[in-house]
Amino acid sequence: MNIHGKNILTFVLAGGKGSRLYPLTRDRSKPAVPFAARFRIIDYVLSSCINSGLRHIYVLTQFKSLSLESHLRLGWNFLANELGEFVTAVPAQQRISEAWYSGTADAIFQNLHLLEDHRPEHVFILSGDHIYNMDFNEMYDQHIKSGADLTLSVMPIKKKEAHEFGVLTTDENGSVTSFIEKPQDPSTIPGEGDDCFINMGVYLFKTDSLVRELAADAREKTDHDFGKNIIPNMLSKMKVQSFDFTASKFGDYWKDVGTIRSYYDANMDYLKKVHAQSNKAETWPLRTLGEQLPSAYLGGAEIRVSNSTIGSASRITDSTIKNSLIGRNVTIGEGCDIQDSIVCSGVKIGKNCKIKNTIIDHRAKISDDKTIGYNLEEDKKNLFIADGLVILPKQFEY
Amino acid sequence: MSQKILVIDDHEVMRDLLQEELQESGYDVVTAESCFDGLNILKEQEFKLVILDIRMPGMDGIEALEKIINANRGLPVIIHSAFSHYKENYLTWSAADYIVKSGDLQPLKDSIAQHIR
Repeated sequence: MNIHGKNILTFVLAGGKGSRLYPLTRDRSKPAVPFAARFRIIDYVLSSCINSGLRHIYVLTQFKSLSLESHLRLGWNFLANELGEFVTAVPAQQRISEAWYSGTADAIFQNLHLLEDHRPEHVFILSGDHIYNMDFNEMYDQHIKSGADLTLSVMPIKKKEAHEFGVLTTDENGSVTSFIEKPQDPSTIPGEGDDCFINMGVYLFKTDSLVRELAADAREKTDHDFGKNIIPNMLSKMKVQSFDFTASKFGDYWKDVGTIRSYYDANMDYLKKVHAQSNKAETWPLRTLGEQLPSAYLGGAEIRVSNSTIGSASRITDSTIKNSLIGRNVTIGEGCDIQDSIVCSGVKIGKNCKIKNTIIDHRAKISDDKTIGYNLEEDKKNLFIADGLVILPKQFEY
Repeated sequence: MSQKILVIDDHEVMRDLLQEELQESGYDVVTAESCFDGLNILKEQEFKLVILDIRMPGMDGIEALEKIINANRGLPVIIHSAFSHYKENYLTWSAADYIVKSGDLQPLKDSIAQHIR
Protein backbone atom coordinates (compact mmCIF):
# COMPACT_ATOMS: atom_id res chain seq x y z
CA MET A 1 0.00 0.00 0.00
CA ASN A 2 1.26 3.48 -0.76
CA ILE A 3 -0.11 6.55 0.93
CA HIS A 4 0.48 8.73 -2.11
CA GLY A 5 -2.95 9.39 -3.58
CA LYS A 6 -4.81 8.38 -0.42
CA ASN A 7 -7.13 10.89 1.16
CA ILE A 8 -4.78 11.98 3.94
CA LEU A 9 -4.07 15.43 5.34
CA THR A 10 -0.89 16.13 7.26
CA PHE A 11 -0.36 18.76 9.92
CA VAL A 12 3.14 19.57 11.08
CA LEU A 13 3.16 21.34 14.45
CA ALA A 14 5.89 23.92 14.12
CA GLY A 15 5.15 26.41 16.85
CA GLY A 16 7.78 25.12 19.30
CA LYS A 17 9.52 27.92 21.17
CA GLY A 18 12.60 25.84 21.94
CA SER A 19 13.39 27.93 25.02
CA ARG A 20 16.23 25.63 26.04
CA LEU A 21 17.89 26.10 22.65
CA TYR A 22 18.42 29.78 23.36
CA PRO A 23 20.19 31.73 21.80
CA LEU A 24 19.65 29.66 18.64
CA THR A 25 15.92 30.34 19.10
CA ARG A 26 16.36 34.02 19.91
CA ASP A 27 14.95 35.11 16.53
CA ARG A 28 13.26 31.95 15.29
CA SER A 29 11.11 29.03 16.36
CA LYS A 30 12.71 25.67 17.10
CA PRO A 31 11.82 24.00 13.75
CA ALA A 32 13.65 26.82 11.94
CA VAL A 33 16.92 26.31 13.83
CA PRO A 34 19.75 25.41 11.41
CA PHE A 35 20.90 21.80 11.41
CA ALA A 36 24.20 20.34 10.18
CA ALA A 37 25.06 23.88 8.98
CA ARG A 38 23.00 23.15 5.87
CA PHE A 39 19.44 22.24 6.80
CA ARG A 40 16.75 23.40 9.22
CA ILE A 41 15.34 21.05 11.84
CA ILE A 42 11.95 20.96 10.09
CA ASP A 43 13.56 19.62 6.90
CA TYR A 44 13.68 16.18 8.50
CA VAL A 45 9.97 15.71 9.01
CA LEU A 46 9.09 17.39 5.73
CA SER A 47 11.57 15.21 3.81
CA SER A 48 10.06 12.10 5.36
CA CYS A 49 6.59 13.31 4.37
CA ILE A 50 7.58 13.92 0.75
CA ASN A 51 9.63 10.73 0.49
CA SER A 52 6.70 8.75 1.92
CA GLY A 53 4.22 10.26 -0.52
CA LEU A 54 2.38 12.66 1.78
CA ARG A 55 1.69 15.70 -0.38
CA HIS A 56 -1.00 17.66 1.44
CA ILE A 57 0.84 19.32 4.24
CA TYR A 58 -0.05 22.23 6.47
CA VAL A 59 2.70 23.55 8.71
CA LEU A 60 1.15 25.28 11.72
CA THR A 61 3.35 28.12 12.93
CA GLN A 62 3.01 30.79 15.57
CA PHE A 63 5.42 33.26 17.25
CA LYS A 64 8.77 34.14 15.64
CA SER A 65 7.64 32.38 12.49
CA LEU A 66 9.10 34.69 9.85
CA SER A 67 12.29 32.69 9.39
CA LEU A 68 10.35 29.43 9.15
CA GLU A 69 7.75 30.77 6.77
CA SER A 70 10.40 32.20 4.49
CA HIS A 71 12.27 28.87 4.52
CA LEU A 72 9.07 27.02 3.56
CA ARG A 73 8.22 29.49 0.83
CA LEU A 74 11.67 29.47 -0.73
CA GLY A 75 12.66 25.87 -0.10
CA TRP A 76 9.50 23.81 -0.02
CA ASN A 77 7.40 25.34 -2.73
CA PHE A 78 8.07 22.68 -5.37
CA LEU A 79 4.99 20.45 -5.21
CA ALA A 80 2.48 20.33 -8.04
CA ASN A 81 -0.18 22.86 -7.16
CA GLU A 82 -2.14 21.79 -10.21
CA LEU A 83 -2.45 18.30 -8.73
CA GLY A 84 -3.61 19.71 -5.45
CA GLU A 85 -0.31 19.06 -3.70
CA PHE A 86 1.11 21.59 -1.25
CA VAL A 87 3.32 22.39 1.69
CA THR A 88 1.71 25.49 3.15
CA ALA A 89 2.56 27.46 6.26
CA VAL A 90 -0.49 28.38 8.32
CA PRO A 91 0.39 31.15 10.76
CA ALA A 92 -1.75 31.33 13.89
CA GLN A 93 -4.40 33.60 12.45
CA GLN A 94 -6.27 34.27 15.65
CA ARG A 95 -9.26 33.66 13.43
CA ILE A 96 -11.58 32.63 16.20
CA SER A 97 -9.90 34.07 19.26
CA GLU A 98 -7.21 36.58 20.01
CA ALA A 99 -5.02 34.08 21.85
CA TRP A 100 -2.11 32.04 20.50
CA TYR A 101 -2.65 28.29 20.37
CA SER A 102 -3.01 27.18 23.96
CA GLY A 103 -1.80 23.63 23.28
CA THR A 104 -1.04 21.13 20.53
CA ALA A 105 -4.69 20.02 20.30
CA ASP A 106 -5.87 23.63 20.23
CA ALA A 107 -3.61 24.26 17.22
CA ILE A 108 -5.53 21.62 15.28
CA PHE A 109 -8.92 22.64 16.72
CA GLN A 110 -8.41 26.23 15.60
CA ASN A 111 -7.80 24.88 12.11
CA LEU A 112 -10.81 22.56 11.98
CA HIS A 113 -12.00 24.47 8.92
CA LEU A 114 -9.07 22.96 7.00
CA LEU A 115 -10.32 19.48 7.86
CA GLU A 116 -13.82 20.54 6.84
CA ASP A 117 -12.46 21.87 3.51
CA HIS A 118 -10.43 18.75 2.69
CA ARG A 119 -12.55 16.05 4.39
CA PRO A 120 -9.61 13.61 4.62
CA GLU A 121 -10.16 10.04 5.82
CA HIS A 122 -7.05 10.10 7.97
CA VAL A 123 -4.89 12.81 9.46
CA PHE A 124 -1.19 12.67 10.27
CA ILE A 125 -0.12 15.04 13.04
CA LEU A 126 3.64 15.36 13.26
CA SER A 127 6.03 17.38 15.32
CA GLY A 128 8.31 19.75 13.42
CA ASP A 129 11.17 19.69 15.88
CA HIS A 130 12.59 16.17 15.96
CA ILE A 131 15.51 14.67 14.07
CA TYR A 132 14.50 11.37 12.46
CA ASN A 133 13.60 9.70 9.20
CA MET A 134 10.43 7.68 8.88
CA ASP A 135 8.57 5.92 6.11
CA PHE A 136 4.99 6.80 7.04
CA ASN A 137 3.69 4.05 4.71
CA GLU A 138 4.63 1.43 7.30
CA MET A 139 2.66 3.21 10.00
CA TYR A 140 -0.30 3.79 7.68
CA ASP A 141 -0.43 0.09 6.71
CA GLN A 142 -0.59 -0.93 10.34
CA HIS A 143 -3.16 1.77 11.11
CA ILE A 144 -5.48 0.49 8.36
CA LYS A 145 -4.99 -3.20 9.24
CA SER A 146 -5.68 -2.64 12.93
CA GLY A 147 -8.63 -0.32 12.28
CA ALA A 148 -7.34 1.96 15.04
CA ASP A 149 -8.84 5.36 15.79
CA LEU A 150 -5.35 6.54 16.62
CA THR A 151 -1.96 5.02 15.90
CA LEU A 152 1.00 6.64 17.60
CA SER A 153 4.64 5.94 17.01
CA VAL A 154 6.60 4.81 20.07
CA MET A 155 10.17 3.89 20.91
CA PRO A 156 11.93 2.54 23.98
CA ILE A 157 14.33 4.71 25.97
CA LYS A 158 15.96 4.35 29.36
CA LYS A 159 13.73 5.06 32.34
CA LYS A 160 15.98 7.82 33.67
CA GLU A 161 15.39 9.87 30.49
CA ALA A 162 11.71 9.00 30.07
CA HIS A 163 10.23 11.55 32.47
CA GLU A 164 10.61 14.27 29.82
CA PHE A 165 8.17 12.50 27.48
CA GLY A 166 4.74 10.88 27.34
CA VAL A 167 5.23 7.35 28.66
CA LEU A 168 2.88 4.53 27.71
CA THR A 169 2.29 0.85 28.23
CA THR A 170 0.82 -1.58 25.72
CA ASP A 171 -0.66 -5.06 25.74
CA GLU A 172 0.80 -7.95 23.71
CA ASN A 173 -1.01 -6.70 20.57
CA GLY A 174 0.47 -3.21 20.79
CA SER A 175 -2.78 -1.70 22.00
CA VAL A 176 -2.06 1.24 24.31
CA THR A 177 -3.22 0.50 27.86
CA SER A 178 -1.93 3.55 29.72
CA PHE A 179 -0.48 6.93 28.84
CA ILE A 180 0.97 9.52 31.19
CA GLU A 181 2.60 12.77 30.07
CA LYS A 182 5.93 13.46 31.80
CA PRO A 183 5.42 10.99 34.67
CA GLN A 184 7.49 11.19 37.84
CA ASP A 185 7.84 7.42 37.91
CA PRO A 186 7.68 6.13 34.31
CA SER A 187 6.26 2.62 33.74
CA THR A 188 8.76 0.23 32.18
CA ILE A 189 8.15 -2.31 29.42
CA PRO A 190 7.61 -5.73 31.03
CA GLY A 191 10.62 -7.99 30.41
CA GLU A 192 12.75 -5.17 28.97
CA GLY A 193 14.68 -4.11 32.06
CA ASP A 194 14.45 -0.37 32.68
CA ASP A 195 13.29 0.61 29.20
CA CYS A 196 10.10 2.65 28.80
CA PHE A 197 8.00 3.28 25.70
CA ILE A 198 7.80 6.97 24.90
CA ASN A 199 5.49 8.90 22.59
CA MET A 200 7.41 10.38 19.63
CA GLY A 201 4.74 12.93 18.70
CA VAL A 202 3.87 11.10 15.47
CA TYR A 203 0.10 10.54 15.29
CA LEU A 204 -2.20 9.06 12.68
CA PHE A 205 -5.91 9.56 13.38
CA LYS A 206 -9.13 8.53 11.74
CA THR A 207 -10.51 11.98 10.99
CA ASP A 208 -13.91 11.46 12.60
CA SER A 209 -12.33 10.17 15.81
CA LEU A 210 -9.90 13.08 15.87
CA VAL A 211 -12.59 15.72 15.40
CA ARG A 212 -14.86 14.11 17.98
CA GLU A 213 -12.06 14.18 20.56
CA LEU A 214 -10.88 17.69 19.70
CA ALA A 215 -14.44 19.00 19.90
CA ALA A 216 -15.08 17.33 23.24
CA ASP A 217 -11.78 18.63 24.59
CA ALA A 218 -12.44 22.14 23.29
CA ARG A 219 -15.66 22.33 25.32
CA GLU A 220 -13.75 21.80 28.55
CA LYS A 221 -11.17 23.79 30.46
CA THR A 222 -8.07 21.67 29.83
CA ASP A 223 -4.52 22.20 28.58
CA HIS A 224 -5.76 21.22 25.10
CA ASP A 225 -2.72 19.03 24.63
CA PHE A 226 -2.50 15.69 22.80
CA GLY A 227 -0.23 14.17 25.42
CA LYS A 228 -1.97 15.49 28.51
CA ASN A 229 -5.63 15.34 27.42
CA ILE A 230 -6.58 13.86 24.06
CA ILE A 231 -4.67 10.55 24.15
CA PRO A 232 -5.34 9.65 27.81
CA ASN A 233 -9.07 10.42 27.28
CA MET A 234 -9.26 8.21 24.21
CA LEU A 235 -7.90 5.08 25.89
CA SER A 236 -11.12 4.03 27.59
CA LYS A 237 -13.43 4.49 24.62
CA MET A 238 -11.44 4.15 21.42
CA LYS A 239 -8.84 1.91 19.83
CA VAL A 240 -5.42 3.43 20.35
CA GLN A 241 -2.60 1.42 18.83
CA SER A 242 1.17 1.83 19.14
CA PHE A 243 3.55 1.63 16.18
CA ASP A 244 6.99 0.29 17.04
CA PHE A 245 9.36 2.79 15.44
CA THR A 246 12.48 0.74 16.19
CA ALA A 247 11.17 -2.13 14.03
CA SER A 248 10.61 0.23 11.07
CA LYS A 249 12.89 1.08 8.15
CA PHE A 250 14.70 4.02 9.75
CA GLY A 251 14.09 2.96 13.33
CA ASP A 252 17.68 3.26 14.46
CA TYR A 253 17.60 7.01 15.07
CA TRP A 254 15.25 9.58 16.59
CA LYS A 255 16.32 12.56 18.59
CA ASP A 256 14.45 15.32 20.37
CA VAL A 257 16.93 18.18 20.18
CA GLY A 258 15.56 19.92 23.23
CA THR A 259 18.80 21.22 24.70
CA ILE A 260 21.99 22.76 23.35
CA ARG A 261 23.86 19.56 24.24
CA SER A 262 21.39 17.23 22.49
CA TYR A 263 21.31 19.59 19.53
CA TYR A 264 25.09 19.50 19.29
CA ASP A 265 25.19 15.72 19.68
CA ALA A 266 22.60 15.27 16.93
CA ASN A 267 24.73 17.42 14.62
CA MET A 268 27.77 15.30 15.38
CA ASP A 269 25.67 12.15 14.79
CA TYR A 270 24.88 13.53 11.36
CA LEU A 271 28.59 13.74 10.66
CA LYS A 272 29.01 10.10 11.68
CA LYS A 273 26.17 9.09 9.37
CA VAL A 274 27.71 10.96 6.44
CA HIS A 275 30.96 9.16 7.21
CA ALA A 276 29.18 5.79 7.27
CA GLN A 277 27.60 6.64 3.88
CA SER A 278 24.27 5.10 4.71
CA ASN A 279 22.71 3.58 1.57
CA LYS A 280 19.30 4.53 2.88
CA ALA A 281 20.16 8.18 2.44
CA GLU A 282 20.39 7.83 -1.35
CA THR A 283 16.78 6.73 -1.74
CA TRP A 284 15.59 8.96 1.08
CA PRO A 285 17.02 12.39 0.35
CA LEU A 286 17.02 15.09 2.97
CA ARG A 287 15.71 18.16 1.19
CA THR A 288 16.15 21.82 2.01
CA LEU A 289 16.37 25.22 0.43
CA GLY A 290 18.73 24.98 -2.54
CA GLU A 291 20.64 28.04 -3.63
CA GLN A 292 22.63 28.62 -6.80
CA LEU A 293 26.13 28.91 -5.40
CA PRO A 294 29.59 28.06 -6.72
CA SER A 295 31.56 25.13 -5.26
CA ALA A 296 33.53 25.52 -2.09
CA TYR A 297 37.16 26.62 -2.47
CA LEU A 298 39.87 25.10 -0.30
CA GLY A 299 43.22 26.79 -0.88
CA GLY A 300 46.82 27.03 0.24
CA ALA A 301 49.56 24.47 0.85
CA GLU A 302 48.67 24.00 4.50
CA ILE A 303 45.00 23.11 4.31
CA ARG A 304 43.87 20.03 6.19
CA VAL A 305 40.26 18.92 6.29
CA SER A 306 39.07 15.71 7.92
CA ASN A 307 35.69 14.28 8.91
CA SER A 308 33.90 17.49 8.02
CA THR A 309 31.36 18.85 5.58
CA ILE A 310 31.92 22.12 3.73
CA GLY A 311 29.02 24.04 2.16
CA SER A 312 28.94 25.60 -1.30
CA ALA A 313 30.67 28.93 -1.91
CA SER A 314 32.75 28.64 1.24
CA ARG A 315 36.38 29.75 1.05
CA ILE A 316 38.98 28.29 3.36
CA THR A 317 42.70 28.91 3.13
CA ASP A 318 45.64 27.25 4.91
CA SER A 319 43.59 26.06 7.87
CA THR A 320 42.82 22.86 9.73
CA ILE A 321 39.18 21.74 9.90
CA LYS A 322 38.40 18.62 11.89
CA ASN A 323 35.10 16.96 12.95
CA SER A 324 33.13 20.04 11.96
CA LEU A 325 30.13 21.11 9.94
CA ILE A 326 30.81 24.19 7.83
CA GLY A 327 27.84 25.87 6.13
CA ARG A 328 27.53 27.73 2.85
CA ASN A 329 29.28 30.96 2.06
CA VAL A 330 31.60 30.71 5.05
CA THR A 331 34.96 32.46 4.92
CA ILE A 332 37.82 31.15 7.07
CA GLY A 333 41.12 33.04 7.00
CA GLU A 334 44.64 31.59 7.06
CA GLY A 335 46.06 29.73 10.01
CA CYS A 336 42.78 28.76 11.67
CA ASP A 337 42.21 25.55 13.57
CA ILE A 338 38.52 24.54 13.86
CA GLN A 339 37.54 21.36 15.65
CA ASP A 340 34.29 19.72 16.78
CA SER A 341 32.28 22.79 15.81
CA ILE A 342 29.23 23.88 13.84
CA VAL A 343 29.76 26.90 11.62
CA CYS A 344 26.52 28.04 10.01
CA SER A 345 26.12 29.79 6.67
CA GLY A 346 27.50 33.24 6.00
CA VAL A 347 29.93 33.17 8.94
CA LYS A 348 33.22 35.04 8.57
CA ILE A 349 36.24 33.94 10.61
CA GLY A 350 39.45 35.96 10.51
CA LYS A 351 43.05 34.69 10.52
CA ASN A 352 44.75 32.50 13.13
CA CYS A 353 41.63 31.62 15.15
CA LYS A 354 41.49 28.50 17.29
CA ILE A 355 37.94 27.25 17.75
CA LYS A 356 36.68 24.11 19.45
CA ASN A 357 33.27 22.84 20.72
CA THR A 358 31.53 25.94 19.39
CA ILE A 359 28.26 26.62 17.59
CA ILE A 360 28.44 29.68 15.36
CA ASP A 361 25.06 30.81 14.06
CA HIS A 362 24.33 32.45 10.70
CA ARG A 363 26.43 35.41 9.61
CA ALA A 364 28.38 35.81 12.85
CA LYS A 365 31.79 37.47 12.48
CA ILE A 366 34.96 36.53 14.34
CA SER A 367 38.00 38.76 14.00
CA ASP A 368 41.67 37.65 13.79
CA ASP A 369 43.55 35.74 16.50
CA LYS A 370 40.55 34.66 18.59
CA THR A 371 40.61 31.51 20.70
CA ILE A 372 37.18 30.06 21.53
CA GLY A 373 36.17 26.90 23.36
CA TYR A 374 39.52 26.11 25.00
CA ASN A 375 39.01 27.99 28.24
CA LEU A 376 35.32 28.26 29.10
CA GLU A 377 36.01 30.40 32.19
CA GLU A 378 37.69 32.95 29.96
CA ASP A 379 35.03 32.63 27.21
CA LYS A 380 32.29 33.17 29.75
CA LYS A 381 33.32 36.80 30.12
CA ASN A 382 32.29 37.65 26.55
CA LEU A 383 30.39 34.72 25.10
CA PHE A 384 27.30 32.62 25.70
CA ILE A 385 28.05 29.18 27.18
CA ALA A 386 25.55 26.32 27.62
CA ASP A 387 26.10 22.63 28.36
CA GLY A 388 29.88 23.06 28.03
CA LEU A 389 29.59 24.53 24.53
CA VAL A 390 30.17 28.06 23.30
CA ILE A 391 27.41 29.60 21.18
CA LEU A 392 27.81 32.69 19.03
CA PRO A 393 24.30 33.92 18.14
CA LYS A 394 23.19 35.02 14.70
CA GLN A 395 25.10 38.05 13.39
CA PHE A 396 27.15 38.23 16.59
CA GLU A 397 30.48 40.03 16.20
CA TYR A 398 33.46 38.98 18.27
CA MET B 1 -31.42 32.00 41.51
CA SER B 2 -32.62 30.65 38.17
CA GLN B 3 -30.16 29.48 35.55
CA LYS B 4 -29.48 31.89 32.76
CA ILE B 5 -29.71 30.89 29.08
CA LEU B 6 -28.81 32.95 26.00
CA VAL B 7 -30.87 32.32 22.85
CA ILE B 8 -29.33 33.51 19.56
CA ASP B 9 -31.81 33.32 16.69
CA ASP B 10 -32.69 35.78 13.94
CA HIS B 11 -36.39 34.81 13.89
CA GLU B 12 -38.40 36.88 16.29
CA VAL B 13 -41.14 34.26 16.54
CA MET B 14 -38.66 31.61 17.58
CA ARG B 15 -36.98 33.94 20.11
CA ASP B 16 -40.33 34.79 21.68
CA LEU B 17 -41.46 31.16 21.75
CA LEU B 18 -38.25 29.97 23.39
CA GLN B 19 -38.23 32.82 25.87
CA GLU B 20 -41.81 32.08 26.93
CA GLU B 21 -41.43 28.30 27.10
CA LEU B 22 -38.08 28.26 28.83
CA GLN B 23 -39.10 30.89 31.35
CA GLU B 24 -42.09 28.71 32.15
CA SER B 25 -39.64 25.89 32.76
CA GLY B 26 -37.89 28.09 35.30
CA TYR B 27 -34.94 29.42 33.31
CA ASP B 28 -33.90 33.04 33.03
CA VAL B 29 -33.73 33.77 29.26
CA VAL B 30 -31.91 36.53 27.38
CA THR B 31 -32.27 36.72 23.58
CA ALA B 32 -30.12 38.09 20.76
CA GLU B 33 -31.19 38.53 17.14
CA SER B 34 -27.70 38.19 15.63
CA CYS B 35 -24.42 36.49 16.44
CA PHE B 36 -22.75 39.89 16.79
CA ASP B 37 -25.24 40.88 19.48
CA GLY B 38 -24.96 37.45 21.10
CA LEU B 39 -21.16 37.63 21.31
CA ASN B 40 -21.35 41.09 22.86
CA ILE B 41 -23.89 39.97 25.44
CA LEU B 42 -21.64 36.99 26.29
CA LYS B 43 -18.80 39.39 27.05
CA GLU B 44 -20.93 41.26 29.58
CA GLN B 45 -23.05 38.61 31.26
CA GLU B 46 -22.52 35.11 32.52
CA PHE B 47 -24.65 32.27 31.18
CA LYS B 48 -25.07 28.60 31.98
CA LEU B 49 -25.96 27.60 28.41
CA VAL B 50 -26.36 28.99 24.89
CA ILE B 51 -28.93 28.01 22.25
CA LEU B 52 -27.66 28.87 18.81
CA ASP B 53 -29.34 28.93 15.40
CA ILE B 54 -27.09 28.34 12.35
CA ARG B 55 -28.56 30.13 9.34
CA MET B 56 -28.49 33.79 10.25
CA PRO B 57 -27.56 36.91 8.26
CA GLY B 58 -24.14 38.45 8.93
CA MET B 59 -22.21 35.93 10.98
CA ASP B 60 -23.62 32.41 10.87
CA GLY B 61 -23.95 30.13 13.86
CA ILE B 62 -21.00 27.96 12.87
CA GLU B 63 -18.56 30.86 13.01
CA ALA B 64 -20.16 32.08 16.22
CA LEU B 65 -19.92 28.61 17.76
CA GLU B 66 -16.14 28.59 17.28
CA LYS B 67 -15.83 32.01 18.85
CA ILE B 68 -18.09 31.15 21.78
CA ILE B 69 -16.25 27.88 22.50
CA ASN B 70 -12.87 29.60 22.34
CA ALA B 71 -13.78 32.47 24.58
CA ASN B 72 -15.94 30.50 27.04
CA ARG B 73 -14.43 27.06 27.70
CA GLY B 74 -16.88 24.90 29.57
CA LEU B 75 -19.99 26.81 28.43
CA PRO B 76 -22.34 24.33 26.69
CA VAL B 77 -23.79 25.42 23.36
CA ILE B 78 -26.80 23.63 21.85
CA ILE B 79 -27.27 24.08 18.14
CA HIS B 80 -30.94 24.58 17.29
CA SER B 81 -31.33 24.58 13.53
CA ALA B 82 -34.10 23.78 11.06
CA PHE B 83 -31.50 21.94 8.99
CA SER B 84 -29.99 18.60 9.92
CA HIS B 85 -27.21 18.48 7.32
CA TYR B 86 -24.90 20.77 9.33
CA LYS B 87 -24.44 17.77 11.62
CA GLU B 88 -21.98 16.52 9.00
CA ASN B 89 -19.91 19.68 9.29
CA TYR B 90 -16.91 19.12 11.62
CA LEU B 91 -17.18 22.67 12.88
CA THR B 92 -20.49 21.89 14.58
CA TRP B 93 -19.11 18.92 16.50
CA SER B 94 -17.90 21.06 19.35
CA ALA B 95 -21.50 21.87 20.28
CA ALA B 96 -22.84 20.03 23.33
CA ASP B 97 -25.84 18.90 21.28
CA TYR B 98 -27.55 19.41 17.96
CA ILE B 99 -31.33 19.65 17.99
CA VAL B 100 -33.33 20.00 14.78
CA LYS B 101 -36.11 22.59 15.14
CA SER B 102 -39.61 21.21 15.28
CA GLY B 103 -43.01 22.06 16.76
CA ASP B 104 -42.17 19.89 19.73
CA LEU B 105 -39.78 21.69 22.09
CA GLN B 106 -39.43 18.69 24.41
CA PRO B 107 -36.19 17.35 22.82
CA LEU B 108 -34.64 20.81 23.26
CA LYS B 109 -35.82 21.04 26.88
CA ASP B 110 -34.45 17.56 27.60
CA SER B 111 -31.12 18.51 26.10
CA ILE B 112 -30.97 21.74 28.13
CA ALA B 113 -31.69 19.81 31.33
CA GLN B 114 -28.94 17.36 30.45
CA HIS B 115 -26.24 19.88 29.54
CA ILE B 116 -26.83 22.97 31.66
CA ARG B 117 -24.09 23.58 34.21
